[in-house]
This record gives sequence, C-alpha cells and structure tokens, in this order.
Amino acid sequence: MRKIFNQANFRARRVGKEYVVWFSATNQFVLLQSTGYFILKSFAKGMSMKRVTDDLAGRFGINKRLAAISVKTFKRSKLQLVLEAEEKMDIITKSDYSKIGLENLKHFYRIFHQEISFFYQNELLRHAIHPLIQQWEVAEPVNLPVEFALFSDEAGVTFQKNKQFVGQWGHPHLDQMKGSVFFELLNVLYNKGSDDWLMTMHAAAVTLGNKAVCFSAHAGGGKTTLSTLMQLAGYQLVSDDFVAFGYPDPLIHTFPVAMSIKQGAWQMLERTAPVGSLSFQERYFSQEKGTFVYHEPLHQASLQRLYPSSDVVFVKYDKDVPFRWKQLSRANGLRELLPQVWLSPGPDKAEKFMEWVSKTRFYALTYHDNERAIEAIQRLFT
Amino acid sequence: MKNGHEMYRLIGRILALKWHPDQALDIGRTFQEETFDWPLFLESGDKHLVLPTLYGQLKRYGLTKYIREDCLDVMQQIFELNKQRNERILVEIDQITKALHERGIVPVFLKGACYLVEILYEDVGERYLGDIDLLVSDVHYLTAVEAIKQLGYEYPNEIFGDVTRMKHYPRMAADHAVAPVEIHRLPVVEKFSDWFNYEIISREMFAPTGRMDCRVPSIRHQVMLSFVHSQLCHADHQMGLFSFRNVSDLALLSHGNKFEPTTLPKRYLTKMNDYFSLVGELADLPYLKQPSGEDGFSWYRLHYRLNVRYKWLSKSILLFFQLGKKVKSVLSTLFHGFQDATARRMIKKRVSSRNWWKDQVAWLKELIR
Repeated sequence: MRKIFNQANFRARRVGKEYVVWFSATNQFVLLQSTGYFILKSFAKGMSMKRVTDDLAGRFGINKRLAAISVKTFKRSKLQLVLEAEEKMDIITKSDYSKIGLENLKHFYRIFHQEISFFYQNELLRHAIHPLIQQWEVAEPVNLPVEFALFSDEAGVTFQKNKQFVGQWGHPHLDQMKGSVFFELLNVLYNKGSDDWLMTMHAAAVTLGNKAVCFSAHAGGGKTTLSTLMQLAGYQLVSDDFVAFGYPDPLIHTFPVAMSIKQGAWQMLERTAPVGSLSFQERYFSQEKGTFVYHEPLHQASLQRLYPSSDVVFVKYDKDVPFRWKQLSRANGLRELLPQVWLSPGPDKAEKFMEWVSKTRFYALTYHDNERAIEAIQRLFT
Repeated sequence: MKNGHEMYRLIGRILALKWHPDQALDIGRTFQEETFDWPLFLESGDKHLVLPTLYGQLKRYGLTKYIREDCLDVMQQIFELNKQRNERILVEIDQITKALHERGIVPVFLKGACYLVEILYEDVGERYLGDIDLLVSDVHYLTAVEAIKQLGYEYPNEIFGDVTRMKHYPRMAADHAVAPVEIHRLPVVEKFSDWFNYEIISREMFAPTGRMDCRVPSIRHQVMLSFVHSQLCHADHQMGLFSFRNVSDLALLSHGNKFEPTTLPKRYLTKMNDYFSLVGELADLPYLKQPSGEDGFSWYRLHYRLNVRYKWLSKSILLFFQLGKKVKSVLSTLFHGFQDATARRMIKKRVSSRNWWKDQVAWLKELIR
C-alpha cells in the first residue's frame, strides 16, 4: 500500500483556524482542524498512537482523554482508505458500450471551426445536455468530428470521448457528469488540453469588464435567475452553471452555453424588467426541459477576454427570507466550495488553488428580494 | 451532571431533538454548568459511536456555541472525516448495486447502509457505519457473493463451515474499498428466521426516493431489525445494554409516532417493550414508553441501572456471559463431532489452522479490552 500519510505526499495551508490539506496521490483536498492536522502529521512521521496522543495533549493543552478520543476517531475514519479508494474504484467502473449502436440520438455541433458528434443513449441524457448547446447544432459535419458519447444504465452514466473512457457517475451525481462534458467542450472551444486549466467550478459568473463574481448554488438554488437579474442590471454573463479557471493565471474563461430558467422564475424576471431588452440570440420555451432556454451570441472576441475573480457567493433562493447576507470564514467558504470544484492534478496546481483561496472572499446570500440581492452583489464590484 | 444515567439522558435528548426542539435551551444550560464533565460526554458519545450524530444535532439546533472549544474541535473533526467516509461508502454502494444488477439481483440494504441510501439522517456525515449489509434471496445468495468477489472483495481467511447455512457470507473487504461487505441470506440469526426472513421483508420493502436500483425494508421492519439485531441476536437484552446509535435510528424512524405493531412473536413483546421504554425515557420520547416496561418489574432496566452504577460489575458479568457462550458453542461443536464425520473433519481443520487460533486470540483480547 502506498503511503499517502507520508510527509512528502501532502501539502497544507492554514485557512483561519483550520488547515486545507492536499494529497498528491489522489488530488484531493481535505479540511482538517488544527488537532486533526497535527495527528495527520504525526502519523505521517510514523509515530505510535500513544505517542501521538501524548504529544497532542501536550501541544494543545487538552485533556488526555479528549486527545485519546481525537486520535482514536481519526484512525477509525480510515481517511487513508477513503482517499485511496477514490481513485482505485474508478478502475473497475468501466462498462463495455462498444456494441451499442450510435445512430439513434446523434447530434452534430460546430463551435467555430471545431465539430463534435454527440451520441446520447437515451432521451434523458439528451435533455440534460442538448438544450444547452443546441445553438451550435448543425445538420452534419464537414470535417472529421470529435466524438462524444453518453451511456446510461441502472447504476450510472458513462461519458466517452473518441471512444475513450472519460468518467462514470452514479445517478445522484449527474451534475458532475455535466461538468465533465462541459469541460471537454471547453477544451474544444479554446483548443486547450486538461493541463491548461486550474479548475472548474459548478457556478455562474458575471462581470462588468474588470473582474468577475461567481455564484455557486445547489441545483434549483437560483444562481441562473440571479445571473439573469444581474444581466438585466447591466452586467455581462461570463458563464452559467460551469466556470473554468485557466492556469497558470487563475483567470475565468467565457463559456457561452445556453441558460435554462424555470417557468415561474422567467415570469418573475419579465415582471421585474423587460427581458426582451437583453441581446439574446434566441429564447424559447423548451418542452424537453420544461424551462425557458436562452443564449447570447458567440463571438470569437468574447473568448479573448479573461477575468480575475476573488469573490464567490453561495446563493440560496428562499421564499421565506427576503434578504440575508453573510461573509463566511475562508474555512467555511472552502467547505462549501470543495464539493463544487474539480481541480486539475499536480502539486503546482494545488499550491495555486490554495493561493487563490487565501485571496478569495466567500459570502452566503439567501434571498427573494431581488433588488437587495442585486445591490449586495453590485457592492462587490466597487 | 451527577452520574452516568444523567449523561445518558442528556445524550438521548440531544439525539431526539427533532421531536422536542424546545428542549434545546435546557440542554444549552446544562452545557454551561461549571461541573459539566466534557470528557465523559465525549467518551460516552464515542463509546456509542454517535459523536458525528451529536455534532450534527448540536449544530442544527444552534448549540455549538455552548460546547467547550477543544471538544467542539474534536467533534467537528470527527463529523467531517465521517462525512467524507460515508460519501465514499455511497459510491461503493453504487458500485455494488450495479454489479448485482448485472446479474439480475436487486439488493435490499440493511441497517447503516439502508439509512444512508434512504437518507434517514439529514446530513450524510451523521451516521457512523462499520460495514455495508445487504440482503438477497437464498436463490441469489451465492451469485451475489460471486458478483462482489468480481469487484475485488474477498474474505481474507479460510472459511470454516458451510457458507450456505450461515446467516451471512463472512465479511468481505477490498483494498479499494472503505467499508467491508456482508451479504446476508438471513437478516438475523437462524433462531429468529422463522418469523423474520427475506420473504417477509420482501413483502413490504420499497425503493428509497430517487433510487430505483435497490430496496430497503419497510420502516416497521427496519425498527424490528434494529431491535432484534441489537437486543436479541447480540444478547444486549440479557445484559441490560443498548447503543445510542440504535436509539438515534429509532428516534428518526419513529417519525414522532408510536411504532405500529409488528409481527414479533408474543414471547418477545415484553423484551421489546422494556427496550422501547428505556429508549423512550433516555430520549424523552414518551410515546415509545410501553406500559409493561414502565410499570412492571424489568430485568433489563435493572441490568441497565447496575451497568450505569457499577461499571466493573457489568464488565465482569459481560465477560462471564460471553465466555459462557463460547464454551457452549465449543461443546456443541464437539458434540456434533462425535456424531458426524464431516463435523469431525471441520474441527480438525480448524484446530490445525494458525489463522483460526489467531482469530480466537483476537476475540479474547477484544473481550478483555
């Protein structure tokens, strides 16, 4: 068994009272309390449980019984196994889809000069992706297209690119599947490879030209509605649902997939301001998604603009709370952020991410009062 | 905080705060008492494997501000590590479910794994679980074992005995997996399988929300399994023992109501009532209290009181009881050996196996500890 708990195998940075620890073997981040980090370091040095307990009690001035519980439960958490399992399990998840015919639900897309053929094994998968990229659909390809394919069975969804396995996700984690598809689209759009990105974030981003603010939320949390409200207030959309940060400079790249808004939210937006005033290339009601879908025109020039961002807002629409705004500690912000982020592997990128975190401010916004929400976000741009 | 019983009452009330949130203030006041024994609080929570659950509850009801800083640090750490572990276990459950599906088997998850897939706890990090228990029909039992072996799980030691007669296949683990797997053909020990088995569970089982690929027992069967497994199979009832992990499960499964009558045979009803009565008292869930357990004399409650007051006594009785059970099992095996050549061969195989002796030493060490 490899020693993940080896001093050379992890890097850490203090975030408030806690530590964010990155493990090179698995490219994973874990937030640990200062005591937890101390235990991790001690185990990495090969110290015995008793010694770690004694040292912990001495170093932090805590009761020996508490120290013993802390060390014992740290061991019981099997953190090392959890981290190792993360990557090993992937090896056995690949299914053989080579015999499935690819003709039924195939669409072709063209993004500038690059063409993509996309096979969706069923309608459900098509509904998840196609309405958001259908503005790029073409009748048939001119050149040899890049082949994307999504397959599904009871246990999950598999994504392939040029017949190569990219990833598999269980049904509760389909957001991650969408993120992976978008990431590959992004590579096509910018003609880049995986190494050229620091991370992608499940979020939306808007800008006034100088910098961008990211909105992260759980599905249905209202980040797309808020992005549209911000557009109505004169801001420009950089990306909806999926924000990509470049590397080495962690700058946000424009990713113009369509936005999808629930009917109720759309009606609210129309009451709030003339939605027709936006420069949308097309907007329509998608029967497939049961939502209004719209997108902005794609210009080569917009791909040249990159934006720094040091503000992340976790958004939650709540009909019972008019407005609540709270700045989060970095540790709590990171706790919210980590499940929404996919980070490129490598120690340099981990360092860069930790550096970005140390300069980033995190906020929690709960609202249904649009005006106050917009005002609060506008303040982040001043 | 004067004694162990009071500490247990406090932990029970925290675990059931969902049904009496008005007690949060009183709990907060208890935490502020100068004499509050924080190490005892954490030790009790740790012993019953409910520290992550307690942390989740205290956070939910705004009580973390009353927790001493170093204790909060420990609890938060445990919660987050457990959350990470459980998220991984959910992935493993997905993999196992998929592998079984490919062979036409729909698994019925039991106990901790069941609570995880049906999202009994609000936060995935709140329930600690040791392994993934799943139940399949007798027909699918060995096929399911093969499917799990294909995923890389295996029982590391030699198997003594006929696996088709065991309650579950010996616990299988894998390098790539956090939680070991137990594939059950019976939900509980053979002795109780006449009235609690796959067939009975399958009549009422259901697909948890958002998951058509697996099943969980009906709520009343989950309650029954929790009681039978902990109190009858593990003989906790005889010893006046209980686990707060089960108390917490029961508090959530109860949905704030009295449990429906179950198909439990009459001879076990008093034991169940005794148990629910104690759980009801500890968690302050009066609807769980049963008349026979509350008013009548209860050996279970007497044992519980002795356990709380005289820990050395309860430990000695437990040691004596477990050793007695072992001696009975050895004598029974030897008796079979006299009658049956296959049993004799099995005994010979066992005593000549180094691993078997290692297991016995490990069992004895664990018992003494």
